[in-house]
Amino acid sequence: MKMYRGLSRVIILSLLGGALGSLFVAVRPAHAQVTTSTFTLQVSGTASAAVTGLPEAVTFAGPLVVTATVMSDPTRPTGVLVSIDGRGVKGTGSKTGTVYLNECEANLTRLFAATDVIKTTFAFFKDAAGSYLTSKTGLLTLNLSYDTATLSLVNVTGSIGTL
Amino acid sequence: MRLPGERTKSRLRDFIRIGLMSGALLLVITEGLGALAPSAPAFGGSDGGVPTGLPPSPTFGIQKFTQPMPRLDLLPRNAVSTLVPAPTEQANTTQQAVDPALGGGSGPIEGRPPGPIWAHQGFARFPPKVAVEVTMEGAKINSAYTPGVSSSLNSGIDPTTPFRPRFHPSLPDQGPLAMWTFNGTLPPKLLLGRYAEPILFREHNKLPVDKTQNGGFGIHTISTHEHNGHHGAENDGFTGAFFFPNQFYDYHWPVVLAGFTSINTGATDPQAATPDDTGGKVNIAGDWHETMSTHWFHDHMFSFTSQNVYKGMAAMFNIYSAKDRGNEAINDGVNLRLPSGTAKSWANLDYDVNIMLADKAWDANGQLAFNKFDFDGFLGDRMTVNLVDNPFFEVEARKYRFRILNAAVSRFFKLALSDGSTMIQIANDGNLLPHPVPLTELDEMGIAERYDVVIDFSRYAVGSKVWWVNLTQQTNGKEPDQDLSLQQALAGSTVDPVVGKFLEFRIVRAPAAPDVSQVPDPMIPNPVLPVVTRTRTFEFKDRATQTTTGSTSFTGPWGIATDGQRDALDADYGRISAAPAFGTTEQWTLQGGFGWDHPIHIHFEEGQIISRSGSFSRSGSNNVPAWEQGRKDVYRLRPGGTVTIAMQFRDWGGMFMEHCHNTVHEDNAMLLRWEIDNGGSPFLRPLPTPIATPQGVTFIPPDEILPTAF
Repeated sequence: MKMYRGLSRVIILSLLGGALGSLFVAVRPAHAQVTTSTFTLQVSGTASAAVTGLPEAVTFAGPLVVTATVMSDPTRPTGVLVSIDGRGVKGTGSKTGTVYLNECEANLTRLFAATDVIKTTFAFFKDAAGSYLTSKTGLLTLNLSYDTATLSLVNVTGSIGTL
Repeated sequence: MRLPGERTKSRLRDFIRIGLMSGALLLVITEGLGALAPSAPAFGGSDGGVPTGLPPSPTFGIQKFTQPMPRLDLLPRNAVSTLVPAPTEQANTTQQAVDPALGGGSGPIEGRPPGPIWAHQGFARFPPKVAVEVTMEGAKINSAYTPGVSSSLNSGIDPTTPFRPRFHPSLPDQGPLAMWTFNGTLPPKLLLGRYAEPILFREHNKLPVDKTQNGGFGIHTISTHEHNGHHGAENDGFTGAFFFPNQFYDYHWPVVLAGFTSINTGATDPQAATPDDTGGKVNIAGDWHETMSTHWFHDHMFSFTSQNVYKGMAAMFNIYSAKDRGNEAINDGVNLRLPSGTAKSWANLDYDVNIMLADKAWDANGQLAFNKFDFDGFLGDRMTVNLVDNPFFEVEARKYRFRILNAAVSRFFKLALSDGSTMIQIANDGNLLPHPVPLTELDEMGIAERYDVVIDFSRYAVGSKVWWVNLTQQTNGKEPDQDLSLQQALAGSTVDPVVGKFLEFRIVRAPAAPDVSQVPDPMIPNPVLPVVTRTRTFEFKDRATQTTTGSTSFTGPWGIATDGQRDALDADYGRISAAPAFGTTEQWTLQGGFGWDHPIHIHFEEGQIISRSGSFSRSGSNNVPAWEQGRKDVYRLRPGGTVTIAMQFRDWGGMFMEHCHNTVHEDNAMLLRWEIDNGGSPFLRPLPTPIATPQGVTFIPPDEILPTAF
């Protein structure tokens, strides 16, 4: 009997809670929202030979595409997925003119704020067969600014250096 | 499914679950969102810890990097003749007495569903050549640790010293109710297999017959899924094909190249081959572009996967082929010569290291602890590698391959080396990529994903150290909070104790022999996809309804809407949501939602990501990053994201699953059944659903067939 009383209580509470919960879900006032914006910028900078161990400094320049997908959810702190594609950026050896490619692709989860500073690393390597085996590391610094009303990127600046 | 007389208990559990959810909602109404995570008002609790939902794990004074990381423990490979009774094509229904705690009477010794539908497909064509016999049982001391390498390549661990079931020498042993593992021991197990060498994997359930003897979580009924094995459904670890204590289940893993029934059927392509024992290779049928390498297997018990896997039911499985030989010296124009070793003709582990990542938590007694009541997911506050806490690993100054598995319940990891130097990703989900990808920070790694990377330690001086660092902060089971910069993670600028250094590499000596390994380009190009015959959509949502009431259904906050259904449906493994025709290729679009991230796993055969939208932007391409341009079996949706994949349905038949591999989401009830429709021959159409009891498995018609399934 005790068990059945307990069971009944659980069922009744469950049903009551479920009904109220359904009501809550039904009248959930705010909705999640996704806002995507893209910004293309020119970045430049130098990876010093002293840090990379290469025989020469490598100077980078080129276009970098930043896409911000802002997830606004009333139940969670607003987050943003920042996707970076910098593979169009080319490096040039300061002494030899050697061309360096990179694998600067990244998806970064960030907390949304009016401004955000991102520091992320990327691999770069000579434009030659098998050179990825001796990749070096560059540091990409991005300064992102958002319109907090529209949740869109309004400006991005960036530079390249080393750790 | 349920024991006789247990239906009330099952429903009671559902009511309690519903009640808890409702109660949580009431708390939200009355007290705001913080009520859902009392220890975590935003990110991190008042004590700054991760909201495990439990008290912080006591440290017992242990320090990081004070114990070696053990290599995984090799499972013995035996002759099939050692199996008693001998394996059979159909389930062995020899009767045995059933323990009174399981209802008494008698029942079959094998828990596999009986009859022709669940008979081993291809059993005559691919007779087992290797037997692997394991138990699932409570934790105990390992007196037969077999790392597969010398002590010098295992950070000095003496394998003759009994290996205790504990996360650190200063922590207590795990009790037999707290931890359940293959053979009951640590380290986690590793199975070595090769193509065209079918394996009979016999698993004995030695767990307590009393289901309440579980240390607070986990269930004693089990079903082992060979993750992404290309097998018949009877060997897939279907969530409803579980078995009971004192039973065994024979899984027959043929280990074949996908497409063996339609591509290179005469085994004439020299690229499609398997290693022999003398340094040569033997051609095999199938498409070598489908070659797989790094698998794992784990429990898949309906609505208990998270608890059981967390409890220790996980192991890894390396599959070797002529392409991925596990011998770096053989130069035959096919072998890719990836870092491994040279002593054996295949499967050298000297420089090929399995890594199982998992966050854990333990109670005041140091026993594994789990919060069953947070349906967003479970996060531990301690990082383990191969189930030891924050270890070190000794390496030579040369190239190593690491096969990294995210074996967590709900946590994502993003790995970097502490000096920011490069790792070369060579495989994703166990599939070698078309091209190696040099990365300084790996992508966030979802649950069940596998990333194989090569690290060249020759760039470091002997005597130096470098660390693996986790950059992803996560304080909610739904999704990561943020990725930190390497500097931030190293500085400890986070509330998440699992961020930061977690594995110390010690470069201890020059290579014992010249490093002749390679990381070639290309590796394995993608297979050519046939014409797509049909498209389907699956939306993964946080509000779901249940349309069925049978014992195969479950109620939870998560669900899946198929082909434009208005409402997502809770899991019911008696419901058929999709039934692709045998021999066809379909395009499936997986749609996520906001505020969470789901790593979606589709069983049976790896697919290719055709496009991503809303989550990655690359001008003029399909939005798929380089490391996802191979084949995969886990597809991260990312918040609000959509992934479209192509997948083939061939070679085998039966019922399979699709689900979120955040296993808390899967268990609560983001899972569906699909099956391969062969038009009714030789199998029934649709397939009946197995209902497991200790006294035997019966079958019932599907609860429901969605209108767009067939």
